[in-house]
Amino acid sequence: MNEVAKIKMEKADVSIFSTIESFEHWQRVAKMISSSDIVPKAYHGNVSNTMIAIELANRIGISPFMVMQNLDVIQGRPSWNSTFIIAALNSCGRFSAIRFVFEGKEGTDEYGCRAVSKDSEGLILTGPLVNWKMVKDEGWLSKAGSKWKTMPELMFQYRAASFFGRLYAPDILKGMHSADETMDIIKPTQKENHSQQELERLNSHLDNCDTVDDVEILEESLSGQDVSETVSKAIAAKKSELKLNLQ
Amino acid sequence: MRTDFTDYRFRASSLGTLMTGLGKPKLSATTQTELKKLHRQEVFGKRTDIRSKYLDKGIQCEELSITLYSEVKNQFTVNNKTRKENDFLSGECDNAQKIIREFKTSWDLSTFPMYDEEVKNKDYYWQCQAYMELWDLDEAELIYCLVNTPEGLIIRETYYMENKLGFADVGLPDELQKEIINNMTFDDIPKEFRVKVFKIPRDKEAMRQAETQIEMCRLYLNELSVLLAGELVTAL
Repeated sequence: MNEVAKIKMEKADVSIFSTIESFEHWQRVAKMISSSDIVPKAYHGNVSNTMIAIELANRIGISPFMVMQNLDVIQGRPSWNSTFIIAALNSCGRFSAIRFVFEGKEGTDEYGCRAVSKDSEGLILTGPLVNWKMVKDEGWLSKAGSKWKTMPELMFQYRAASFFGRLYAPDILKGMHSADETMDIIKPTQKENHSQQELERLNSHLDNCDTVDDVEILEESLSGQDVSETVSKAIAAKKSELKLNLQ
Repeated sequence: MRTDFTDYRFRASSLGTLMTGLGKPKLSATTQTELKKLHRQEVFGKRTDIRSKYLDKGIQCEELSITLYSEVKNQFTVNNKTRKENDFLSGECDNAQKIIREFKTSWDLSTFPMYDEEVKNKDYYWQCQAYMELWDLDEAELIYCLVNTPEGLIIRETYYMENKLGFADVGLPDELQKEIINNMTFDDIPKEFRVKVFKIPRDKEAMRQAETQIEMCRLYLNELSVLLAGELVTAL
């Protein structure tokens, strides 16, 4: 490697966005990497995503390819694979390998798991407890397609590791959540999703209402139903709109 | 933990499983088996809910099915959120706008009752009867809908087929993959063909018989509790 390249590498260690030269250099690298067939889909042909992956890799000191393999972009949010979090924590040298301790009686809300490790001085580091109560209260279980329903043991361990990492090694995770966690946060709950679809359905019917009578017929069909406030408001708004048009 | 079933209210969706041999003085063996299963669940708090891809699609696509029905029938339909119960039953129907509407999402074209003229599944018939009783409505519609399978379930099916056909390492050939997607998505079939409605009138007489059957079921559940208690005494 020549001197210029060395300087560029050193600068890149700080941030690939810190100087124009560094940016241009890494942009060229990103173009090359993103044109490869073996990079994951989110990065293939996407120089911007690849640049971010390189920046992140530089910041946490691992190869860009490893970042690309383990960083999922879920609805625009970069999120680490849970297995990567565990591997990163285990290999960072600050702790002994993470162990998972299950607590509470299986089948109860108290049943859950926490990640435990020891630091270099032998002090026990205990991660926050993730139990069924938390899973239910946070609404993770009720998400459509929730993996908590199908593979709870694994999800307990993944989530416990993620919490542990954010508590004891936030610099490694760079404030990012695990992919599973992001799915739980981002995906609308089934109920919200239902309400949204119901509202879309209503709007499509309201669009077909040309007169106040049409809206009233629709309103009448809902009498005695436990409809949401949003539905009631949308109907009232349409009625007002049609009345105004009439005037 | 429940051991006294004197006032036990059966779920509307499970009513059909208890109705074999209705009107006879003794519970049928099938009903007894169902009741033993229920007793185990209630006493020990362990649900043996059957998880299947069919159920998963039903749960995930409920709103899509309601939307499809709403479009085809030009009827704004809301998802009922109220649970009701009487002295015998409890349940939460899908929709109760003037009539009961119970939605069933078919897994694929082969399980969609396109050519059927009457309800083949007696469990659904009883489920609708139970809802009509609970909501005091005189008509029910059992509505089968054929909507696109969610991506997650298609992926699961692909994964299953890969393993079944020995393509676990290399992935399914494109042709097979396309076939799976084609068989699990239905945008190419007109919407009108993807909604099948069976009208079910309320049968009050049948419900009175069902209530008598429920009383017998309760007695049997209590007998099972006594049997279990006897086991415990013997063990002690």
